[in-house]
Amino acid sequence: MSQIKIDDLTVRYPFQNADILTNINVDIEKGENILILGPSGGGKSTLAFTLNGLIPNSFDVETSGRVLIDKQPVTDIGLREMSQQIGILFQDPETQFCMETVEEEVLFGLENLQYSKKDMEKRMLDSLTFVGLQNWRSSRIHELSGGMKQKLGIACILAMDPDVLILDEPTANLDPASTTEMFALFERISRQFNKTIILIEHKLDQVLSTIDRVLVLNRHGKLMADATPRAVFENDYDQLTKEGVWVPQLVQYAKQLEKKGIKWPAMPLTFTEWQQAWQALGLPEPTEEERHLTEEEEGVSREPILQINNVSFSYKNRTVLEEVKLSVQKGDFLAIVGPNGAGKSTLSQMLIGLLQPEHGEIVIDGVSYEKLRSEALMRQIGFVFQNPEHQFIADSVEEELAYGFKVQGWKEADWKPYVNELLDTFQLTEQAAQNPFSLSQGQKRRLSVATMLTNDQEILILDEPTFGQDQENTEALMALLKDWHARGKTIIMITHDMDLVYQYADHVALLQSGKVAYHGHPSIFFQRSHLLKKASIQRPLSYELQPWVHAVQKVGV
Amino acid sequence: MLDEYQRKQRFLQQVNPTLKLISILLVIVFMIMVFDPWTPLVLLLITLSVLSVFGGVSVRFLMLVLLPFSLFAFSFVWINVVFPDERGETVLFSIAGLPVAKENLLTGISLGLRSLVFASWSLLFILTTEPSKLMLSLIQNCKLPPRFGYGMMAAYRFLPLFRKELQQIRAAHRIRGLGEPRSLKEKLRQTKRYMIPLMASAIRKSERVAVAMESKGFDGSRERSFYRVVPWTKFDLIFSVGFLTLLGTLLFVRNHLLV
Repeated sequence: MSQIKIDDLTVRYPFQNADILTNINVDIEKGENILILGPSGGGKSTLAFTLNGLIPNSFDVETSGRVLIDKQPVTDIGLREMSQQIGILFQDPETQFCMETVEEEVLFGLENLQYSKKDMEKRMLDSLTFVGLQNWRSSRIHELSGGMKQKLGIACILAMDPDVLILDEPTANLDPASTTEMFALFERISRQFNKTIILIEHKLDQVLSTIDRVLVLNRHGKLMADATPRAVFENDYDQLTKEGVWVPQLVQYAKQLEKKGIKWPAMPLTFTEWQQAWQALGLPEPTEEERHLTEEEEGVSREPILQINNVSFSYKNRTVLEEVKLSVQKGDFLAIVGPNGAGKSTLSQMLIGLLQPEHGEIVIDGVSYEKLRSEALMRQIGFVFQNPEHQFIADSVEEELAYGFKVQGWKEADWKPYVNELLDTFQLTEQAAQNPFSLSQGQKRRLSVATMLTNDQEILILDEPTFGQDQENTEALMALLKDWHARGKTIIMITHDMDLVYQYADHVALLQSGKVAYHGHPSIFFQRSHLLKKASIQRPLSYELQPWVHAVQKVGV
Repeated sequence: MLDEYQRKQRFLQQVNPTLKLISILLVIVFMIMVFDPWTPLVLLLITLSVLSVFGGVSVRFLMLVLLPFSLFAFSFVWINVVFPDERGETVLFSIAGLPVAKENLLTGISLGLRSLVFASWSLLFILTTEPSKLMLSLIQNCKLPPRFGYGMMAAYRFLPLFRKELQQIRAAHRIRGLGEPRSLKEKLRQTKRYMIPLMASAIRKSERVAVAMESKGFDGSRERSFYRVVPWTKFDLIFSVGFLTLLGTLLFVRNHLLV
């Protein structure tokens, strides 16, 4: 008997002329680990929320069909009983708690279920210990890191002990180190408890080994595939990419080699499987030389555009930056990486003049910052914030882009062509009259970058621009930056995403404990095992796989 | 700073928040009956001493917080001296040709001190009461529906988030070349510009929190158990006796010895 049965479910949001989910039929058995995939805005979260009746009970939607849990329609089950059947971990760590301390938050759910004090105490301690937060019991939630908050979210659910866990993009707002920890936690949960886990996630390469089954939704809200991960990525690969569904990077590389003639015995899903298949095929493993392949194209000495000379800074008594020295050449694509709290944001805020260094100076194009007025600085540097909404100041997309010109006293006839060009470059022409706040996530992100380029600035600084963005938007943004870079502009990007660093940047600077621990080419950076380990940075998959692809190109099949 | 005081395990921190609320109301009623400057002065000094001895709040900190209130209090004195309803007869001295009467001066001081008494009692409440304890006390002791109690708690949690967001918005707008507003009109426009992103995020956040609370089985009803019960203890008895004795003594001394 299936635990959850979705029976011909169709959902439509008000004021929309298409269904978000169309005639979905799925049976879920107890203990299954299921991954839901689909294009962004394609109804993945909607499907998850129908499972515990949040849709249609708490949202204003039209539905037909039904969802049954243990043969009972979910709409007939009360909130209290439901929370013992299904627990949800949400995407945003900031908005799923309602109490002040860690302990109170776990207790909140248990109090709703009317447990006795003794039971609450035991359940709370057990679940906090399981996720590793036992020493933070009386800490305030807002003092925890994003990763710890998500762990707390898991602890809250485990304490209530539901049969089904829904995890709705739980790592979207986390850095790579916390993401890895979260995935390890899911693996432990699926091994130790016989719970059904339903996961919505974009970072696939790390989770596939624990997944039994993949459900794929297409753009029209139809169930497009329902099979094991291997079967889905092997058989439906072309369709998936056409629908804008993200596929694991490893599979992308495997498919790329397949086109060059490699016949995989079975589609590899993990790096280990990749290596095993390689051996089974009798192919030569890449030699050390290929592994250490570098694409040095230095030598052309260019003029430094930005020089950071022995800059120091401290908040209260904590030293954040200590004698930082960094020189950025004109036309560099520099990625600034490093653990949280290493001073990346502080440094970037200094580069835009929001903070002044305590010691040392910053020189742009031969002129010290101290001698520049802030308007003059803004004409040379654009700065893109993490949250695009914070930058919006006008009532329409067009006004937003025209603002920079208007401030300088341009007439409409003069700025209009520039604005139109920007609208076109950033694919926002159709949205020109819309309010910036009504745009989609990806459109907001593109607009926030576009507004920073209205003065044709030489340098563009971005503070984690891909944070919380899905794959499609990330790729669109990176393509724009690449294009901008090709025009000879300098780009400085703070990021945690090592794949982006490897694929797009031509320089990387590692900030650690307030100092520049490395500055140079990414492919050399990723060879320095010791350095990476100290900064707890993992090599990106794209770096690991590159030599194998080269080996095939060299030897042929 | 606030956290540290609220979480201390001193006498005042252990008094039931509901009782502290009632005591504030009584102080207000009491002060309405008093017009001389001495009673509020004595009450103010006693309140501050109690707050520092039994609440563990440093005197320096208290003085710092009361400073802006003192300016406010002084404005009462000023207004009563310069624009009295009825000028008193005992002229003490004159400032720039304006006669200053003893009666007006005393009324002003009395009103000013009264406002300081209110301020000090508010401080006593705020500095010694954890918000979550207050919420639990209101639900458990005053029959406040949990729907409102926990809703308020969730909203309270967002305050530091909003402060952080406002800072980021400020910085983001500065980078776009928006300077400090010069006229009132510009100031209004700036407020509107800050409000829109803040409101957008507030609405989104509150929706998400509501859904998260529901998914944890919260239905707003009274049918729930409590891990932490805010009880009535001997501290409350001691506080009540002390408080009533204080007001009674003040009233007695004032009526029988001062007249």
